[in-house]
Amino acid sequence: MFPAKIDSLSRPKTVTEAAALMASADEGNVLTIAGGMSLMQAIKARVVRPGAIVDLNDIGELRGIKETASSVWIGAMTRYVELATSDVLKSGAFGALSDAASHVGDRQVRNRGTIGGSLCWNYVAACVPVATLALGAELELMSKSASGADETRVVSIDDFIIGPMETSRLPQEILRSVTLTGPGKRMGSAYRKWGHVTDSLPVVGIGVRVVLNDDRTCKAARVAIGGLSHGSQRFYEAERRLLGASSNPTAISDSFRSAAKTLEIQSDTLASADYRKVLIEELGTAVVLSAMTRAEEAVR
Amino acid sequence: MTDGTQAIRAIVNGQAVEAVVPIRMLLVDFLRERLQLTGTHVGCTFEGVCGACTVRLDGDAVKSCMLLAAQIDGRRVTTVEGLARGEEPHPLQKAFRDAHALQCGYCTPGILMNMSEFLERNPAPSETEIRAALVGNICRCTGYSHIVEAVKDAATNMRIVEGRAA
Repeated sequence: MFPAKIDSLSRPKTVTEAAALMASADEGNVLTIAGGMSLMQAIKARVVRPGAIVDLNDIGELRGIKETASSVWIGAMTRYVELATSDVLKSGAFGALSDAASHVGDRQVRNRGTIGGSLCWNYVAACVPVATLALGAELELMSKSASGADETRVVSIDDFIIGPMETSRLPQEILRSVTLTGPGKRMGSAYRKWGHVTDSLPVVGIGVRVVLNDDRTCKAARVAIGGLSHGSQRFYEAERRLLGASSNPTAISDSFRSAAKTLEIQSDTLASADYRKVLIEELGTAVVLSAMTRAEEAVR
Repeated sequence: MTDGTQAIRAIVNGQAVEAVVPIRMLLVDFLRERLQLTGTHVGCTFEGVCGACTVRLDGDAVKSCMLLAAQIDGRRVTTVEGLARGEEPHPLQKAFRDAHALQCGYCTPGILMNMSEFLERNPAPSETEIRAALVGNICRCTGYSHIVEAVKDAATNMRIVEGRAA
């Protein structure tokens, strides 16, 4: 058996119950498990040795995709396969998340892995954190106070993502949901990555959400990048350079080439820094053009 | 319980199973060592990339090395031993035999379990879709061409049986 001894496994049915279990456990000794696609690797390698595990897989209220007039609510335990096949997310404003979820790992991983698990793990080269950063999501976190009251707080994805494998989630907090605002008028998003084998972890992954003016030029852009040593991060210089841009591949490519100078780009066993710069230019251009096309299709 | 063990009750290949397992026991080890269902294989052992241990959990194809046995309490698991209907092999099993889609056979059970779910969701897949669906299963004999052929044949045969062929 690869994992170190685990004293207890709880399978709560509600978020409140899960939060109570987290509050009552010794800090540092308890971990929540979502799909387990990353955590189980760490447990098997004994990188982490939780004494207690709170399994979130039985909590129905943490699953699902619900559309309102001005936003989309996604339960934290919603699996990649559900994100990838959701009509709500398929195109237009939220396409970046669908793109990302459709190419995470493989079928077996997508059947099990969750949006919340990916965000809370925040691996240095993961797809969902990048797509979610591009979409500007809001995250709802829940915990139990010392007096036993439910405490909820909402943080923006920008404040949630701190660095590779680091988020602003407190150890006792449970991520409840991810809310995407929109779809707005002429809003479109997309995500693309490149890895060494099909659907592998990205050497570079880029997510973009654009809002277009009536003349189809870029009114607003959010760009996020993953695979660099700083982990999933906003790519502010690319955002700035995209303002006013039209769907001209050469100009967009030039923007990404120039903007890449503001990033810290490492050479490692996966790719050299120069190769990553080419990927940033190529993927950046493709992903912006795709987001712009989707924005034009979503005129409403 | 907090002594590191847990009682579980599950349905495995249609049969009720009760056991007390160490919580740290992986599902694949439970299936192989406790239930002697050794058709579920261990390939990569740790990263969860080889797919040889793929089983169906409540219908979904998942890797049993990435789950704890205690997590199947109350759930339904199907392994390759549960794929055939009695003496009648599953159409995928027949197609793999007919198309010579296995050489050493180590990866085969995982591929069968993944593809059995895939074909339920997508009864008429294109070759591109089949190849994409096989990403989570590594064949070290690299006999992918025949595997793809076999999945195609199985899809066709299943549509004929169900009267859905064109």
